[in-house]
Amino acid sequence: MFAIEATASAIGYCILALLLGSLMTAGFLLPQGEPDEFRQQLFSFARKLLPLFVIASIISLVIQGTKLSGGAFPSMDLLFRYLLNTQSGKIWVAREIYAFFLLGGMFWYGRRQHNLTGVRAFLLFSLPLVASRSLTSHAVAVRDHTALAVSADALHLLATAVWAGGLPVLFWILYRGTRRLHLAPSWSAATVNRFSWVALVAVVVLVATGFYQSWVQVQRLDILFATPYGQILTAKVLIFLCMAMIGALNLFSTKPKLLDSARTERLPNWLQRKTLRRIASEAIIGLGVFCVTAILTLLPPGIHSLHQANASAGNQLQAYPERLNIFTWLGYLVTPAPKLQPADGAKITIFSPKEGQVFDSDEIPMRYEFVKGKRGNHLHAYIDGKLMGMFSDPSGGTLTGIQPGRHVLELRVTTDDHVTELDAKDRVDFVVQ
Amino acid sequence: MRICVHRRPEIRPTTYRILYAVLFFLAVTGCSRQSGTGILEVRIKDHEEAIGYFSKVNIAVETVRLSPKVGFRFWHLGWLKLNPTLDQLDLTQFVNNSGVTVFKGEIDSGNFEAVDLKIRNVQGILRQGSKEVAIDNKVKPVALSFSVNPGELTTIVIDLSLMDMSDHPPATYELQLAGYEVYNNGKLVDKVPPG
Repeated sequence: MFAIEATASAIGYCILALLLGSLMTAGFLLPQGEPDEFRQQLFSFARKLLPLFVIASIISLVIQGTKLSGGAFPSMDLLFRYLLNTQSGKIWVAREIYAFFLLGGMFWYGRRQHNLTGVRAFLLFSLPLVASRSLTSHAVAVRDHTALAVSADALHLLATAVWAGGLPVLFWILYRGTRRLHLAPSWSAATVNRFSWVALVAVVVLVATGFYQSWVQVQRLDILFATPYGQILTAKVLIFLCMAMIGALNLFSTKPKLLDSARTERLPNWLQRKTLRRIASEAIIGLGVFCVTAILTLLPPGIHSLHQANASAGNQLQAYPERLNIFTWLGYLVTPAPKLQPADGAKITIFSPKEGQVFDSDEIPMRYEFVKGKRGNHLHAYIDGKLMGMFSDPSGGTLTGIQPGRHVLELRVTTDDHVTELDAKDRVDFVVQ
Repeated sequence: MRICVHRRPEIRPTTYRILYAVLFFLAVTGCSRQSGTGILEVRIKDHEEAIGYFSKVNIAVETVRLSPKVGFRFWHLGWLKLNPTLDQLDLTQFVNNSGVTVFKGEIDSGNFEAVDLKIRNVQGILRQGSKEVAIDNKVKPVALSFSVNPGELTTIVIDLSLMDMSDHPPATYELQLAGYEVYNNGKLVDKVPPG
């Protein structure tokens, strides 16, 4: 199921990237929008990609429904409930409606004319379709600065689509232009020159947004190497570096040679072949980036492992080696036990009852000093490990219904979520007669 | 004439002191074990999370393992296996109550530092559509310090939790260990998480 879902996701990415790449090439890369034949073909190609996007989205929806129904083909009722009651479902519907309108607009426009302004306008209209994918990404789940995280993710998606989606289209027009139409070397040089600027800007955006997102979703170096998300992200960075190296080769070697050939008005065959080969390599690696990105979107972010560790620390469960031998046991001994959350200035000191104090009734008056600190909100009072009450008074309170016998009273500072207990506690023994 | 002098190797007083200390320590740790038997009861209950989606959650318990506290006698390291007195149970019947006993019996008294509830298989039947789904078993050994005293009853209540992880594919449903309670002769002595 995971492989099918990742494949559907990767196909969806590739389709949208090619859509942006085609419209960007038709609208901005072709010198003066020439030749017209290319512009029309690219616009027509972009139009055909939209129905494919709708089909890929429907497949993704069915996969999602299959997961929800425990592996069986989903019923229409379940799909409707998913689409109408969940955030990702609503975004799915909105994107499909938008894609239909875009498709209708492109059909209407394509039958009349293909001027540059129109193509550029449709490129602009396509951006929300690509960027809106971020509304169902991990970025939405980021608690702090959600808008910033979603914007960074959207920019990252757009930059990837423009660069990696533009490469196959660039390859196609260069191949057609040089081999079939035998266009002048200056045409190839101008096209590659423009693309290299677009790619350069895209790389800068990718690096900046990529660093930010990695920091938000991973945060620690050990998570980067220890979690599946971190490992796949590392693979993605390595693939990106390979792509960037070939991009640099094109920028510093291929482009100057093409500009030289434009000046001499002679484009040798070896240079044509080399240019196409390098662009094709970069485009294939770009495809790899899409596949890896698709897997990343399906994996829980690395930072979740930290949350799980925190949760485990919160309930104070400590793992123990399943295979018990001297080495695993020593490893267990040196592993620090889960700790409570840092006190952050919170403090509790019990003044009464005093150690070993004897009471005659089931009412136990407490006197204490409670400092809330940065995160503390109230106190949890435990008798023999059982929660008996909550107190927010800074100086004291009364516990009632305490049975005769020896007891342990423990007060713990707790945050306002009533769950997170801080490393600020005090305990005392007392006796009820 | 050659004179051979055979020097008797002398042991320094400091070395003696260290040796005595080590022997004393080993003797103390060796003799510190309590003799006799106590009764251990292990119960399972459910900490209500996603179990409401299920009409049945069948758990097959393979064994209950305890790790005795060995101190410095690391050569005694190892799991003590206990055969469950109940090896099949439906977790939906034990939500937020006192749970069900999976082991009760006499064992040698002593101190223990970990418990492992080994589960062979977990299968759930969803309420909607009565469909059977596999549940990923994430219950692992956990450090739990407790003692079984001679002639006394020690009860460990293991709190399991069925979690819906479907928003983190490929995960679906997971059975996790949410916490535990330890009772000595019916009196609560330890509870994790507290509250």
